[in-house]
Amino acid sequence: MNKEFHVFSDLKAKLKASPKKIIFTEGTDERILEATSRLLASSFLTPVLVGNPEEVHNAAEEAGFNIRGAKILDPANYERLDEMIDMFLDLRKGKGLTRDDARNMLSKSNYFGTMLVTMGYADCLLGGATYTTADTVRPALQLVKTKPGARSVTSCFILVRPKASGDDEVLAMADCSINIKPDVDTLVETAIGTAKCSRSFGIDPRVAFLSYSTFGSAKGEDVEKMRKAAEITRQLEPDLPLEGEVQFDTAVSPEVSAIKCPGSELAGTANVFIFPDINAGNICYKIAQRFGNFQAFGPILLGLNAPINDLSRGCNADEVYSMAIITASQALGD
Amino acid sequence: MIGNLQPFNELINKMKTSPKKIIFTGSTDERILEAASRLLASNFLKPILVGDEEEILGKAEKEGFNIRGAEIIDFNKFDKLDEMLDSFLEIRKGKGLTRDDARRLLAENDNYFGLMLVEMGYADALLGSQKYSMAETMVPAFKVFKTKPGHKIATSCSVLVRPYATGGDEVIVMGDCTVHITPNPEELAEIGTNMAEFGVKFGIEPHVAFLSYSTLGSGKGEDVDKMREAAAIAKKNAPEYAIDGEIQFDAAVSPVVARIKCKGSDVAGRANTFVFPDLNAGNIGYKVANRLGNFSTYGPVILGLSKPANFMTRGANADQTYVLAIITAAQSEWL
Repeated sequence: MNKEFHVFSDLKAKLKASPKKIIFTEGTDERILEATSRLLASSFLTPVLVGNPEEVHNAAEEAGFNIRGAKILDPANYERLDEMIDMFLDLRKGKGLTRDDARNMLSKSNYFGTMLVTMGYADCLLGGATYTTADTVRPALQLVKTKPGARSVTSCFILVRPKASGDDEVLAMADCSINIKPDVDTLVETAIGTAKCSRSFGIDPRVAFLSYSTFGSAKGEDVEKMRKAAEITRQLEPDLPLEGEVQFDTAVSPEVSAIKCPGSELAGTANVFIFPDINAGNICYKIAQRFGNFQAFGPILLGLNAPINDLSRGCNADEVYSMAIITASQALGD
Repeated sequence: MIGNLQPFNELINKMKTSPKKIIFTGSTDERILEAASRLLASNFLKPILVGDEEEILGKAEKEGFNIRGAEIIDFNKFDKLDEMLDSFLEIRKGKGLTRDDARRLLAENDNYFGLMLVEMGYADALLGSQKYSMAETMVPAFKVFKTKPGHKIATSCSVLVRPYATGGDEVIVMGDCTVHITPNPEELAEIGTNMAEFGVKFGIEPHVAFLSYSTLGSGKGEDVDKMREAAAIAKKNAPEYAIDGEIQFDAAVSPVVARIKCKGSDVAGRANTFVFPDLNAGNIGYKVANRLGNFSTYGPVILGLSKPANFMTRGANADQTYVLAIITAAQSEWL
């Protein structure tokens, strides 16, 4: 197991004071079982596995992970299914769904798990180690829904690497996963959501709206878009330090900032980065991860009424464990 | 102090057997004066500074750079201006330029003057100063030098270098990080093959990755299709190079991820040449590699022109200026 970053010890300490319950929709997956076993060694986060109990136990035995004490819920044999179906139909009313349609959808672990969160049985959900992002996000949008005022779901990554001093360097990058070509409003939501999320990781957010241009040094639609997003964010969050549009070097280097935009608000000290589109976001967080030796945690979905996150299909047990802690910490409130 | 020059030693050694000349414009810039002073310590690349002699010497004295031995050419005292104007009007014929227009352009923008000096054989290459945005700065080079045969457009790349802990250097090439805002598939293909060609000359064995947020169809969208098409065109146009795409950055550089996401690719897991889908990704991406990955960056290097011309960025330091001058001069051998 990797050395644990300080940010995670801090999150665990907070969760210990206010333990949460998390749904894992893929109870027979080996990586989920390993993370579950580790969580059960402690008491800050209670794992709930979705699946057939016998299959789950067999998979755990096979893989050699002790999951004694784990709660297992089976969609095929759930005592509150009628209540769940009622609520599901209410949430999806007007969509022409029958009770049988609902029963059928809720036999799938992603819908079943998401309803468990909606019903308040658990605080949050982590899934997608074996299915697509869309299969995580769709039920979340339909059932948990976006927060009042949020028009869309966006996402961010938290990037962490140890400093030579022993502290961690922690950055946030967004949106690297969900919105392909975000418009100005989506960028604003992404920035505000990411800034807020970053605080739980000990970041004092200083937001850069990234572009290939610094304060008008180059032209183009996307330059305008980023400048506008920065302006609107500033109106909505006057106390949030931010600047844009700005190039990455200007955002992080005090020297370059002094040359390209002397007297700027961030002066080369940005730690939260908003990308103009998913091309830039996805490629660049991976460059930071691979070339900068950052550990990347995410995508962390933002804008939903309850924390629900998506695992990558290539994830390992460490990542499941970290994402579970992150997901639960999103339920801690402000 | 001089940074890590290891990856450029081969270029320097070649030039020692066949010395070059390079024109600098914006010569009162202290980064250029420092680079010129360093070049004058050796004989492989002779700097020619464009500008007012008194101003340049004054600035060099003030900044403490010994530029004794540097040739200085002042537009206002240039004795072959008539010949230059003839040549310039010939190059720009059909554009409705008068002789006075031409004179004004050369007087107002020393990059035009410098490019024409190269065109007339005073030097092998130009390292110009940045005016306005980089895209606008480069326009005179496209106009005067034009693209070389077989190249529809000029593209740009950045060279990134960092030392391996075990010795030697990791050298990668990224493009287009400076010029093309939203290149189409044909342009992207040319960006990729130009970089591959450059990489070979530079001594790296190019493995070209056309980057996206999708790996071989894992994601969807116009830009995913665009990168896949661009990779296909590049493969067809330049079958001699290892090219693949569309591919995500992790699959491009990590053999572990490559095995999961794209088995059998000759690029995945070992890419060293990266084509970005647009300028947003390219410009931010190479700066992330630079700042968070601790790569030194050199560029932009313009590819596809008939003669070498590059331009300094506002953020460049003297080290980068010195190395870019060497790369620029070396390009004259490769064209």
